[in-house]
Amino acid sequence: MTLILFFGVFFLTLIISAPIMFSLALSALALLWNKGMLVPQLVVQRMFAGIDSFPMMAIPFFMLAGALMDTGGISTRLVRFSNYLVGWISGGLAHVAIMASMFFAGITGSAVADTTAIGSTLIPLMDKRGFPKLFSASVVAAAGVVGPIIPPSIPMVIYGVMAGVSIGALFMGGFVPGILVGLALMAVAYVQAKRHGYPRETVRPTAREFLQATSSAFGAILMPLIILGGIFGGIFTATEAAAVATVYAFLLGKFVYRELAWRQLPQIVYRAGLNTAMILIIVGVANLVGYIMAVERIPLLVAELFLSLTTNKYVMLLLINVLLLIVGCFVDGASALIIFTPVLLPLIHRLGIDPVFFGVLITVNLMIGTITPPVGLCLYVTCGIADVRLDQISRAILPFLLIEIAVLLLVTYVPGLIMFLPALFGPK
Amino acid sequence: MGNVLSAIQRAVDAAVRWVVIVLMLVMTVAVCLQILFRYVFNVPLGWSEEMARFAFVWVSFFGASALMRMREHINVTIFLDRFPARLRGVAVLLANLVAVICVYFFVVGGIALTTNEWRQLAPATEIPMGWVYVAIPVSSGLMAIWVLIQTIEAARKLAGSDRP
Repeated sequence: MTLILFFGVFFLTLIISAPIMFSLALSALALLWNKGMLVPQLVVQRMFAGIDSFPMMAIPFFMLAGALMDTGGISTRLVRFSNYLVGWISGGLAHVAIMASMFFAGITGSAVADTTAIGSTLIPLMDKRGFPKLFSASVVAAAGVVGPIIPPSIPMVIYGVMAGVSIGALFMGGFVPGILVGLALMAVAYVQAKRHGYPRETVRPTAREFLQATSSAFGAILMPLIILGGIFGGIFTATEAAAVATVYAFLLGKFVYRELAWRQLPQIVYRAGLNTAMILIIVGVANLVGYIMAVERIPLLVAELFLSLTTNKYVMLLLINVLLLIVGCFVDGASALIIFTPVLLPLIHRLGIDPVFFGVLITVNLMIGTITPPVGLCLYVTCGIADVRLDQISRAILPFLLIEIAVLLLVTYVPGLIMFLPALFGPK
Repeated sequence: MGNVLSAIQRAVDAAVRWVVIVLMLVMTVAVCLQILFRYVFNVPLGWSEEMARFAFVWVSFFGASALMRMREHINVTIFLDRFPARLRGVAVLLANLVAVICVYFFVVGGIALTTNEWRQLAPATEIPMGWVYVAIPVSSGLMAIWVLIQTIEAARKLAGSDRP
């Protein structure tokens, strides 16, 4: 009964386009009212407690660091460096886009930021070299998916705090799946390039040019190493690492690349603040939801419901993957993560699945949702840049989408791929 | 009259914008000082984490009010786009009412929390908690204004579409 009340209110309000924070809040209010516990002060107290968290503060810092890096001119440098690395392969610029996205993923924790940064540079370039617009838009959107998989990662920060697991371990776990997704995308791009005769770049840098490109891209490549090295070396927490990354990005853009102007700063900081609020206010409401859910034992009811279907760990992971892929088609990744993490955790514990493993898995899954129509944020971004329609790109993205789902299944059933690095560097 | 109102709105927007920007910087500086003092001066800072957390809460709530004003809160419009025009108007009005109900609880709860905890001191910074909590009723009050304006707009649009 409480299940129907909660999910009924949630889905009804979601369908009529109420903001997700209010959909969630009203569902929680309905449950509280039903229980006779509707005290306004309690409502805001739980929201406050959800936001008042030092670990969550890594989110604004990573948002800010990524934006500073992008405005500071890192994208073009990463593109030039990637061109020297992979431009000579058939389908040259497509590989450059994927490679540059992987590097950019190391300084941003967001798929949309990654897609925007690389897409705005590379889609016009690919257009000039004669790539069909739908192909370029698909490649860039699909490559943006690695943004939050390769550390740092905003979804992993959210999951880590909600599930109470080490954010550093989650970051480490994302490395291998992120690189696998990138390589798989390059394989698909290669096959398509061969079939349609897409051009490659003639890359003959002199040793001096190559060194110069490497050193100017090095500043960006160093960032994930500072973050992870700092966390695992026990030097600072994930949030402190994020703050250091922000200062580092500012210094690099302002004094090394010299492309960041003082007058750009207020708007960059403001936008990062708004993007933070967009997620954190949902996190706050979710804390209220989590509280009343725990009172009503909803996650346990959901766990029992799932366990009545199957108790096999592998079948369950498949079910969860399918469920989340479907959810990802309609709801953006961060919101879906905030909603589903507390609901699924008891189930995960009951089945003896490692919560770090599951955190990386759910991140990979929901980030694939950024390229699934009808609601795919990365698709929207590249559609805008390349000036193509959503229904057109929905078909063109299919091969890339399928290979990403294949990688998702691979890391689901070969858990060592995710757990290898966290186990290696984790606390002994 | 309309000019005065829009001037007030612009002033509020600008104030919220600077609150967000300044507090984002406060967060960054506080956390960096915390690291600096720990490693360079070997004295752990007591107040920095709490200070940064409070700034973070303010950024989240005031940012949320600005997002409300710009209608930028994350929502799902994919179903709405497939509704027939008339039903869409009704749905938008209902969605606004959902927001009105929730914001009402934020305002009332925020006022209660702020007044009840006004004299309570934060453990490390010894800031009165009222100063921290007051972000909730103020930002929710702003949200209430924006959502009421938007609800009236939605209702007018719906009433307007009745006439042939």
